[in-house]
Amino acid sequence: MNTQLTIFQVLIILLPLLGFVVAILAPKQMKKMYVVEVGIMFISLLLAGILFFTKILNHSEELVRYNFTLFSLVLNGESFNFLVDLTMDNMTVTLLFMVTLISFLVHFFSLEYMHDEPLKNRYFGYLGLFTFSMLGLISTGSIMFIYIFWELVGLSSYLLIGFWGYKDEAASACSKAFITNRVGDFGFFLGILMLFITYRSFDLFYIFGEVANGQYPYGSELWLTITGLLLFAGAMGKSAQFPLHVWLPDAMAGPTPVSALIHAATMVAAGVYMIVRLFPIFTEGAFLTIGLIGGFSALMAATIALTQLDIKKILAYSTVSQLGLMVLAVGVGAYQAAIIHLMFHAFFKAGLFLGSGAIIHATHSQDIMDMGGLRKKMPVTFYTTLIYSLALIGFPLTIGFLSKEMILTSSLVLGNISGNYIYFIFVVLTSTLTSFYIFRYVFLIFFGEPRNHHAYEHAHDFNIFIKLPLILLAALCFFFIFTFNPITLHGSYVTEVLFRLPSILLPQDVTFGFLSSAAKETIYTEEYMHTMHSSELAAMLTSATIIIIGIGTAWFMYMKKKLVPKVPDGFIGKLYIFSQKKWYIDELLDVTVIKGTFLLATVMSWIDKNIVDGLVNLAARITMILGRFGAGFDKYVVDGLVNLVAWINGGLSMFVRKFQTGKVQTYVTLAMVFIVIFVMYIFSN
Amino acid sequence: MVGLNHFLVLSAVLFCLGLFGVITRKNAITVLMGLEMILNAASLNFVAISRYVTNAADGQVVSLFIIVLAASEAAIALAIVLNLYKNFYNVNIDEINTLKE
Repeated sequence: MNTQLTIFQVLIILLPLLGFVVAILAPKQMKKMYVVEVGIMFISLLLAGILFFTKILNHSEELVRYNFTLFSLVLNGESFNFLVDLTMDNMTVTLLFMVTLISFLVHFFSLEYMHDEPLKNRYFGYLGLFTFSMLGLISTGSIMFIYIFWELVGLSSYLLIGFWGYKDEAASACSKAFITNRVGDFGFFLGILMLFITYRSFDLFYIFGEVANGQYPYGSELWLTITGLLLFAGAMGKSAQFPLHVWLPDAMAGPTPVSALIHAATMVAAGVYMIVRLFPIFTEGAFLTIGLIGGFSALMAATIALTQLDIKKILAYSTVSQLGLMVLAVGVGAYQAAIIHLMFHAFFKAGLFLGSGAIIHATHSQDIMDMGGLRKKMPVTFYTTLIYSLALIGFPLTIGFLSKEMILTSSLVLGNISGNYIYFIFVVLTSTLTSFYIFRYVFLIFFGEPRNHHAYEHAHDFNIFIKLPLILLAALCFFFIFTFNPITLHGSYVTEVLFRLPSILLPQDVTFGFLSSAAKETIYTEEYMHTMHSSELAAMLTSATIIIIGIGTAWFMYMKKKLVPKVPDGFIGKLYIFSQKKWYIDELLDVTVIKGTFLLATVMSWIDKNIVDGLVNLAARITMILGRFGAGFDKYVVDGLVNLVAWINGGLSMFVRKFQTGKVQTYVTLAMVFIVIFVMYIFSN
Repeated sequence: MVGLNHFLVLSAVLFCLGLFGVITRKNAITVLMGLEMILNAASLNFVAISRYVTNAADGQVVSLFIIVLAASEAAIALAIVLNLYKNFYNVNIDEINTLKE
C-alpha cells in the first residue's frame, strides 16, 4: 500500500515536469500545446486529491518513506550513500494538494488573463516547472533534495518574473530576485554543509534524532544555533524577510497570475515550509533571532503597505508582512500556527492577487488612482476580494481568524510565561495596520467615485476563467471547510491530523525562556497548555479590537472624509513619505551593498590592471630581456665560433689557392725545384 | 778518349735543354718536344752506364722500353693536344687553365 502511495506521489510531482517539457518542446506551429499542459496540471491535481484523502483517511499515522541510493562515495575511508528520498507525512500530502490546487487555479485563470500573449506555450511551461519544483521541495526528507528543488524554485521564479523581459523593469526585477535569493541560499548551503560534516547524512529525520540525542556540531549548542541561523538565512531569502525582502515587491513586474502563484503556493511558501520542517534543530538563540526578524519584517512591511499606490505593491508588502507573522510564529514555537497560516494565507492571498489581476485586466492600470467605484462594474471581483480581505485581517468566521488567532495566542502565551511581550506587540501592531491597509485597498478600488472614467467605463467581470478561481478560493476562506468550531482550530482535523507532525518531529526540550531565566519552560508542558487556554479569550478580544480599529480608521478616512491618497502636511507627511519610499531600504542597499560592490569591483579592476597585469608585464619584460641576451649570445658567440671556423678555413683556402695558378709550367718548375732540393738533401746526408 | 763523364755531361745538357723547353715554351707541341729530349737524356744515361759501369745489356733494354714509352706517350699527348685544339681553338698552354676555377 505504501508503494502505491509513493507511486501517486511520484506521479503528482513528475506530471507538471512532463507538462513543462511538452509545452516547451512543442513545435512552433502547435500554438495550443499549453492546453495539454493545463490538462496535465488538472490530472496532477486529481491525483493529489486522491492521495490526500487516501493518506488522511487510511494511513494518517504513517510516515511513508521511499529511498534508493543514487551513488556511493567513499569519504576519508567511510562510505556514504547519496539517497534519492521521497518522504510523505500528513503535512506533505496537505501541501501537495494545496499547491496543485492553487497552481491549477492559476493556470485556469491565466487562460483568460494571458489571452493575448504570443508565447503562451512558454508561459505555461514555466508555470509547470515552477509547480514541479515546489512539489518536489515538499516531498523529500533529504535536505540536499530540498536544496536542489529550492534552487529550481529560484530558477523558475526568475524565468517567470522576467517573462516580459523586454521591459527593463521586469528584466531588472528577475535579476534582483535571483541575486537576493542567492545571498540567502549561500547561507542555506553553508548550513547544509554544517549538518553534513556533523552528522554525515542529509536525512532530516536521522539528523533530528541525533539532535534530540544531544549530538551537536562540534559538541556545542552555539554551533547548532549558528547552523540553524545559516539555514534560516535561506528562508529569509525565499520568504522575503528583512533585509532580503527587497526582491518580492519588485517581482510584481511579472504577470499577475505568477505573482499569485509566487505569493501563495510556491516561492515564498518554501522558506516558511523549510523552517517548519527543520523546527527540531533550532535552538533558543535561533528562535530568538527568527522571531525578531519575523516580527520586524511583519511590522515594517505593514507600514510600507499603508501608503503604496500600486495595487500589486500593496499586496506584495502585505505578503511580506504575513510571512513575517509566520516566521514569528515559528520563532515563538508555534510551528503549527505558522504552517496553518501559510496554507490559509495561500488561499486568500492567491485570491487577492487573482482579484487584482482581474482589476488590472479590466482597467489596464495598476495605479490605485485610476480606480474607484468598481463595485458596481465588477461585482464578483468585489465580493470575493471583500471575503479575502476579511480573511486576511482575521475577521470571525473566516479561516484568517482561525490561523491568526493561533499566532496571537502563541505569542501571548509566550509573553505570559516568559514576560517577553515583544512578539505579541509585533503581532498586534501588524494586525492593526493590516486591517487598515487592506480596507484602504478595498475602499479606494471599489467604493467612492470613479477617478478614471475611461477605465471605469470598460471595467467588467470576465468569463468563467476569471470568475471560477475567484469564487472557489473565496469559498475556501470560510471556516466550515476546516473546522466545525468557528472560534478555534484546537481539536479540529487541521491541527490533529493534517499538520500533526510525526512524533519524531516534535521537539522534546525546546525552551523559550531566553529573556527570563525563571520562566524556562517547555512549550508542551501542562502550564503551557493551561496558559494557552486562558490566553485564548484575551487573544480573541485583542483581535476583535484590532479589526474594529483598523477598518474603522480606513472607513473614516476613505469613506466618510473621502480622502484621496496624497502626502499630508507636517510630521505625518514625513512619515508618509518614509513609508511610501519603503523605508529607503532600496536606497540604503543601493548606497551600501550595490555601491560597495561597484567600489570593490573598481578596486579589483585597479589591482588587476596595475598589480596583476604589472606582474605579468614584468615577467614578460624579464623574459624579453633574457631573450635578447640569448639572442646576442647566439648571434655573437655561437655564430661567431662558426664564422670564425669558416673564416679561418676561408683564409687558409685563399692562401693555398694562390699556388693553384693553372699554369702547368709553374707547377713543373716548382716540382723541379723541390726535386732538386730533395735530392740535395738526400745526398748531403 | 771518350769516357763515361762525357756521356753524363752530354745527357745533363740534353736534360737541361729539354727542361728549359718544357718550362719556357708556350706552344704545347714544343713542350712535348722538350719532354722527348728529357726522355732521351735519361735513355742516354742508361745506355752509357750499362756500357761503362755494369758492362751488361740491362741498361740498353731499359732504354728500348723508354723509346717505346716515348712513342706511346707522344701518341697520347698528341691526341690530347688535338682535343685541346678542338675545345680552345689554340694550343697555348698559358691560356688553358680552366681547371683552376
